[in-house]
Amino acid sequence: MGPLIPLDIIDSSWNNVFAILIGILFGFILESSGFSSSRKLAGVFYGYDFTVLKVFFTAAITAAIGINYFHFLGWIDISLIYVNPAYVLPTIVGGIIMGLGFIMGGYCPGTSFCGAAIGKIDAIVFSVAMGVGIFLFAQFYPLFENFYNSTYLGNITVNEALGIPVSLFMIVLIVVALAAFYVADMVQKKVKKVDY
Amino acid sequence: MNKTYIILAMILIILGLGMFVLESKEQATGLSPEELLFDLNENTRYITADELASRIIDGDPSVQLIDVRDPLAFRNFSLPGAKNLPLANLCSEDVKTFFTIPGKDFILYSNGDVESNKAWVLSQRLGYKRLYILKGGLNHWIATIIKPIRPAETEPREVFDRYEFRLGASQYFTGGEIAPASNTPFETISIERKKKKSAVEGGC
Repeated sequence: MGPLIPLDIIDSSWNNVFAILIGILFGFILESSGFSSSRKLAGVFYGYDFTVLKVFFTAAITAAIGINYFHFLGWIDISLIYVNPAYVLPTIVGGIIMGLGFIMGGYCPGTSFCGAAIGKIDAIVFSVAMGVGIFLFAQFYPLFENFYNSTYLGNITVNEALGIPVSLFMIVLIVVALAAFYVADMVQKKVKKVDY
Repeated sequence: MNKTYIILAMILIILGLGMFVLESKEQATGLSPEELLFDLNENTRYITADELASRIIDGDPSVQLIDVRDPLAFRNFSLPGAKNLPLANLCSEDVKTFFTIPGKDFILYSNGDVESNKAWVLSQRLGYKRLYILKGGLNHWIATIIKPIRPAETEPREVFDRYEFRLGASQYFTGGEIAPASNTPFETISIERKKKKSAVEGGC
């Protein structure tokens, strides 16, 4: 909970309290956006509902614009923000596996808990199965440990990897997002409506 | 198409273009001239020879001395535990990781104040933290700690206390060297026996 905990304004033992509060808020927003419905989530794949794409892409762009403006105006030090380490091939493989699971089960991890919380049986099954999957992954981890840690690029961002200024990357991302929203709307109009 | 969507899309694009404008006048990374001026006028970066001596003698583990003179001068004389980092080496990668050692006060020194101040400005610019300068450098160190001058008799008590501390510190750092023999030869003392004037006469 920056900047309050790193600056010792409040104790770090509050971390879990904030985590739970933010989790509740996140879950509430997911549920109220209809993300506890596996049919809505799978709609992106079948082309009858692009809410997920729109919500998450908009969230990402809003956050990115906000952070960059804060940085340019000198309100935050962007170098202190944690950037996830990049493992190229494992990420691609992991993305494919995750995508397959998403389409088969109709949930991603967060939304499955969201669905389970309101008592949806498929979401409960999905959550349990996810636990089993995590357990198996941990058990067989030594087998693919080398691959898991391969093609490591460090904590880089896309614009750093491409060597372009962040503002150029952002404008491209915004245009891509708007184009994606537009195309999604076109597709949605063409695809037969599904009642869910 | 819905009007709201078009407006929202326009806002996004304007925000994106605004980033271009802001980034083009991107502020210089590191210290701004004003901050540097403030730091330069603020003398908190200096540590006095007495303070440093007492911290070394107390075995303060946070003291990390950095000698910014050339390696030859470093070999001839350096303070205990100092690391030799000439000005030119300060930008190298190794040094960058060295300066990230947590819990250390990096105390820069050179012969005087000039070189260490240069190193201080450069290190500030490189983003190193907890930097200090030995006030007066080694010259001042020698003049105060190693060869303290006896204060005049009229000086206040504190001056004498400091002098006493410096005498002790001098012994600590020099290993209590033996005072050099004075050139004036000792007066030879010859013991002359008094000659007995006469033989013992009579008894008691």
